Amino acid sequence: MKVDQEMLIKYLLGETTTMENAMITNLLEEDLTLQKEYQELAKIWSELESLPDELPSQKMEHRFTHWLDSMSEVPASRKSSRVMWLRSGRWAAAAAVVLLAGFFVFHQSKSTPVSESRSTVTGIEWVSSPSTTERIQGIYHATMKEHDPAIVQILLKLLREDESDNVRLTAVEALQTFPLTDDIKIGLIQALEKEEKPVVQIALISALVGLSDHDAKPQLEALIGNEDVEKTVKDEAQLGLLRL
Amino acid sequence: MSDEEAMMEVQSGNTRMLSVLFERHHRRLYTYLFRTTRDRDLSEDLVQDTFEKIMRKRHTYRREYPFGGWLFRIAKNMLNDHYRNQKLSTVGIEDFDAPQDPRDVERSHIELALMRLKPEFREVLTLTKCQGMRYQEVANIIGISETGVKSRVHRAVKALKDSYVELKMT
Repeated sequence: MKVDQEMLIKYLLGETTTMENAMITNLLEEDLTLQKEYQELAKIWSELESLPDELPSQKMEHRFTHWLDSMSEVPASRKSSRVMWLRSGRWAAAAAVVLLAGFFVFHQSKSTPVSESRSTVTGIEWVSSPSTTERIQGIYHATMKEHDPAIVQILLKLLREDESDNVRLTAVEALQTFPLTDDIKIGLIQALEKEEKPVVQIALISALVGLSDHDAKPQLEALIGNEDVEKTVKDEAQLGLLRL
Repeated sequence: MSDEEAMMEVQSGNTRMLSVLFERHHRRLYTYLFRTTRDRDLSEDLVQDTFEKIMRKRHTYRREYPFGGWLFRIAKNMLNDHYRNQKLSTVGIEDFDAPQDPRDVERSHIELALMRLKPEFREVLTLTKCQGMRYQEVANIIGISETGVKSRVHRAVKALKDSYVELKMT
């Protein structure tokens, strides 16, 4: 039997019979040209497997979220004011936190003993937890306790570095429950400078405007002038500038 | 919760569960569509259209359907519809000779070699090798026989090797 490229491909894909396998294995040991041909095929096949997934733009996720939101069963009066809802970052962020908090309270009371759940959040080990849920849960519990300046630093770090939009969004809201300090003001402005997700950008703008932080003006102007920034964010920044 | 359970939740009115399915699958679906079409905007539109169609057609879903296969089959139908509307039965290979997106130029030889293949070759390689699907699953998605998929994969591997070698020599 002749071993050609077609047969090598069958061998590569694991589609050869036991008899063919034995024969090809022997031939590969003896025939250097065939061996080279097979090695090339195997290398290409292996590299193909290691190709990473393609990354869609953030716009796609944002679009899906907005669409799903519009599909949710809400009273007609709220549906008609969807644009206002989207523009109101503070409202959106607050709603998200309330929903998350509600979820956790419900979830814990239903499925997790309180003592056990507290043990995962009373320290600061939750900050480095790989679970987004645990980090959000950690923020929620940390802000329920007496205000501790150390928690502010943790929240600012999460706001700067956490990869989850929901964690950063929750951190923005949590920071607003603390007495206002320069650290918080600077942290929020720096986060806005770096943040790329519209929903978090809107929450940050809303927080800074709510704190009447005039130092945020240059950053709001920068957002308005940045062509990569979404229109809803620019509108929120424009509104914020007027309020400041 | 499995994909199938999540989809049953969507079907029974908990439409928010669709975001869980989106989170789990949108990247691999986008990867499949982008590797087939080489058009980022079109692929993103098709991902969105696919999930919108899932919402509209949720009453037709049955728990025994593996969700992933169902999702990809809907996406493939959307892609076919798109080409039909564009009056293109398939996209010409000449459209893919040179990468249009500057990000693509920087990519590895294997990705460039893949990019130069015919769309139907890229499609079967993406589904079988990159997405790890069996021939039977791919056959259900793209609407040809299992033997047809097998034959197409063989020809695609050969074409990929030729494309790869050619790139290496330039």
